[in-house]
Amino acid sequence: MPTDIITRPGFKLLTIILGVSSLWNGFTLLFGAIALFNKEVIVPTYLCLIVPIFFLLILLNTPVILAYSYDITGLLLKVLWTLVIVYNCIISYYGNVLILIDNHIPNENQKFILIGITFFVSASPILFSLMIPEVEFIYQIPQDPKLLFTIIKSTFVIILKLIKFLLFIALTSISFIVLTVLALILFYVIKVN
Amino acid sequence: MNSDQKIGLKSLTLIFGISSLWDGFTTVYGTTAILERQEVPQMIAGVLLAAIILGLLYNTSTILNLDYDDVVGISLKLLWFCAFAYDLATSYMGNIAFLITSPELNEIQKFVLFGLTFFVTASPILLSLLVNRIRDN
Repeated sequence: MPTDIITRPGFKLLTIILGVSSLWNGFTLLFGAIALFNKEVIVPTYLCLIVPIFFLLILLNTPVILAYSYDITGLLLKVLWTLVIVYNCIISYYGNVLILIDNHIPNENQKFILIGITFFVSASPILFSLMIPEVEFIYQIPQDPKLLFTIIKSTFVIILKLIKFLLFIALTSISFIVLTVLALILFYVIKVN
Repeated sequence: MNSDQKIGLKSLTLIFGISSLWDGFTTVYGTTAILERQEVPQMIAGVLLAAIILGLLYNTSTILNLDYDDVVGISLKLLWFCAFAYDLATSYMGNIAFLITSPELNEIQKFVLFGLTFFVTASPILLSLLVNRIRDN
């Protein structure tokens, strides 16, 4: 994306809004996980925290995944990313239902609003990650398709690359995740009280 | 562009700016009215939705000029169209909830509300185009 567009005040503001909206996405994912998992199977609430953390880690690293080559690792990452988008929409919707209408059955107008909020909020982390100016360096990650000679070796490489990838995204997104977790705890305390 | 035209453009910018704020307000009000609750989470969701919609519409000229072969460009264009549609709907509902006290709308009220919603929703888009024009000059 051209630098003159990224540095425009309106565009910067939109990036910030999408960043804040990504935090809300974290909230809705947590509450959605609680709404979906706590009903049928008793899952401790703190385990539900894994859902927003994992989903946001993947979605916030959209540029890495999209720029990755089409080897097995890249394809797996892209499949994982697509699945995360679909599940993000579904879990976020249930989270919004729990947060905004106390898990009641929504009427037509409420459904319209809930779907809208879910759509915009779910798209936020993806666009936020693509719009931040610092994103350019991510496109230069090392890619070596020659490593995949045998199935065993390729599996080993995939696991290693996935670990490396997770470590990389954990490091790049750490401040964002810490903020998300803090905000989630604060919001949960307010909700419980 | 002469100075009179510049003053005219700036005053229009001010009017569209105020109108955009009203647009944001009606979006928040409409959202909370539809959700039938006006507590903190609903207010946050309403403000967030209004901020995203206004943010996208305020960047109209930038977004519509982005390339079609760019992932960000296509995604933002799609989101922009959805934002415009949502803005129309939520603003209309917000205007009804805020301005009309009677339970049913008559034809004249509907006509005025449609007009108001249309002008208010168009404001951030026009504001974006005007700001761009002023910056280019």
